[in-house]
Amino acid sequence: MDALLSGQLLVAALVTGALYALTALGLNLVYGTMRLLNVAHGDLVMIGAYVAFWAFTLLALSPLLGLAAAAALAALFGLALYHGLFRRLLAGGKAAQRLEANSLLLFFGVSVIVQNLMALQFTATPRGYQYLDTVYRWGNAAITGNRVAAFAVAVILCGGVLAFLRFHVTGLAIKALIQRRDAAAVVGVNVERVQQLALCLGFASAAVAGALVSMTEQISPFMGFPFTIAAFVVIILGGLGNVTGGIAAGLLLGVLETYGVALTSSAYRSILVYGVFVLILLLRPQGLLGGRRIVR
Amino acid sequence: MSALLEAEGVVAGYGDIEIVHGFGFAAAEGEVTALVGANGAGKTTLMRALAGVLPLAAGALRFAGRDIAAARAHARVEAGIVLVPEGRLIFPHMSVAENLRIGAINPRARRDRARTADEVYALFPRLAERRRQLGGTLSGGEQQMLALGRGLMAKPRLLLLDEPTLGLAPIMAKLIFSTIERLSEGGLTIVIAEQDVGQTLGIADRAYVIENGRLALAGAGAALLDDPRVKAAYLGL
Ligand SMILES: Nc1ncnc2c1ncn2[C@@H]1O[C@H](COP(=O)(O)OP(=O)(O)O)[C@@H](O)[C@H]1O
Ligand SMILES: [Mg+2]
Repeated sequence: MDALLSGQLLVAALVTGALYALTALGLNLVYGTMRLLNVAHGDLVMIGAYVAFWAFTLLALSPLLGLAAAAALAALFGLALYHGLFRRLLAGGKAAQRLEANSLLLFFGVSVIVQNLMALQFTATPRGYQYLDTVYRWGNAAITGNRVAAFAVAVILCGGVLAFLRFHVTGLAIKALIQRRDAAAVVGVNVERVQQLALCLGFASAAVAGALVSMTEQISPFMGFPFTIAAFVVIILGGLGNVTGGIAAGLLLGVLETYGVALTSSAYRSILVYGVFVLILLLRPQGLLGGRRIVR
Repeated sequence: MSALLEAEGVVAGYGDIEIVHGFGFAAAEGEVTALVGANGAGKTTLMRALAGVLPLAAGALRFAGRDIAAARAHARVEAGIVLVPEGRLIFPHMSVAENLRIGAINPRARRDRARTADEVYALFPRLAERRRQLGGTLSGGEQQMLALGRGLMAKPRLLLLDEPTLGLAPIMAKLIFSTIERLSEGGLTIVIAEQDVGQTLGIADRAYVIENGRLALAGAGAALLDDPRVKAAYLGL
C-alpha cells in the first residue's frame, strides 16, 4: 500500500500520461480534420524512436536534436501520403464518403508493411541507449534525468499546440475544420492546406513522442501497436476531435495504467487499457470529458 | 448598372442527382438581388455552387469580369464572394469573438480585422455583450447575427444570404431584414435567397423566381410583388 502513495508512482504515471497525451494529440488532429482512422499512428511513434536511436548511436546526436529530425521526417511522410493518396481521395465525391471506413484498412496495411520492413531490415531485437540516466531524488521519489526531459518536452509541446490552436488564426482554422468542415470552407479556410498542416503536425507529434520514449525504454519494430491502442483510447476518452479533452485523457490513462499495473502486475497492462476502452464505449460513448460530443 | 456577378447555365447537384438545371441570373453592383422559390426549389444548391462549396457541373460564373467557375471556395472568399449559409453553421465550440476572427481569415480581410470587428459589434450590440460566449450556446437569432457578422468580417464585395430568417421569431426576422437594408444602403451588393417571398421582394431591386431548379420568372422586385402568378403561387392572395 505504501508503494501506491509514493511519489515514485505518481511521477511514473505523469511521464506515461504526458507521452500518451502527445501521441493522442497527433491522432486527434488527423482524425478531426480529415476523418482518417490512422491505425498506423503507433508505427510513427516507432519510427520516431528509431530515428532518435540512430541519431544518437550513429551520429552521436542528442535525442533532443534527434526528435527534431524525427518530427521533420514524419511531417514529410505525411505530406507525401497526402499528395500521393489522400488529396485525390478526399476531393472525389464517392470515394470521400467511404474514406473514413477505407482509411482503417489502408492504414492497417501501412502498419503491417512498416513493422515487417523494419523487422526485416533492422531485426526485431530490442535496442536502447543510455542518455541522461543520472538519478534525481525528491523526497521518496527517484527519477532518471531522461524521464524528466521526456516529461518536460511532452508537456511543452502539448501546451504549445494548445496555444497555437487557441491564439493563432491558423490554429483556429484547424479547430474550425474539426468542428464544422462545411462551414470552414464557407468562411474562407483553405481546407486542403489546413488538412496538410494537421497531417504533418499529427505525424510529427507521434514521431516526437517516439523519440522521447526511446530515451527511457527499449525500442523494437513492434513497439507501436500499444501506442496506437492507447492513443485511440485517449481520444475516445477525451471526446473525438476534442484536443484539450484528449490531453487531459492522456494524463488520466497514464495514471490508470500505472496505478493499475502497480496494484496487479505488468501482465495486466493491456487488459487494463482495453478494459478502460470497453468501459467507455459501454458507459459514455461520447467521451468522459467535455460531456457533449463535438458537433461535426 | 453593371453586373458584379453573372451566372449562365449553372448546373449543380449532389453526385448523380442534378438539382439546378441551367440557371442564369445577374447581380448588379450595389443592388439587392433576390432568388425566391418554394422549399426544395434549389435555392440553397445554387447558393452553394456560387460560393464554390459545391462544384459547378456546367455553366459559367463571372465575378467583376473574372471567370471564377473553377475557383475553390476560399479563393472566392478572397475575391469577395461571401456566403452566409442556410442553417447559420456557427462554430459551436468557439466564442463569438473567435467566430468573428475566423471570418476574417482571408488575407485581404485579415489586416483590417480589428476595425471590421468594431463595425460588426456596432451593427449588433448583442454580439458585443456576448463576445466571450460559445457560439453553440447562442439563441437562433443571435446565431444569425453572428453568421451575418462573420460574413461581414470577410469584407465582402458580394454578400450571399441564404435564408437568413429561417426559423426566427418575427421580431428577429424584422431586425435581420432591416439590417440587410442598412447594409444595402451602405453600398454592399447582396444576393438573398428566401422563402418569405413577400418581405424579400419588398427589399429587392431585382428578383428571380426559381422553380424545380429552373428560372420561372424575373423582374423588378416591386413588379413581381404585383404579378398575378407570384401572388397566386407564393403570396397566397
Ligand atoms: N446533400 C444533398 N444530397 C442530395 N440531395 C440534396 C442534398 N441537399 C439538398 N438536396 C435536395 O436538393 C433539392 C433542393 O434543395 P435546396 O437546394 O436545399 O432547396 P431550397 O434551398 O430551395 O429549399 C431538394 O429536393 C433536396 O432534397
Ligand atoms: Mg434552402
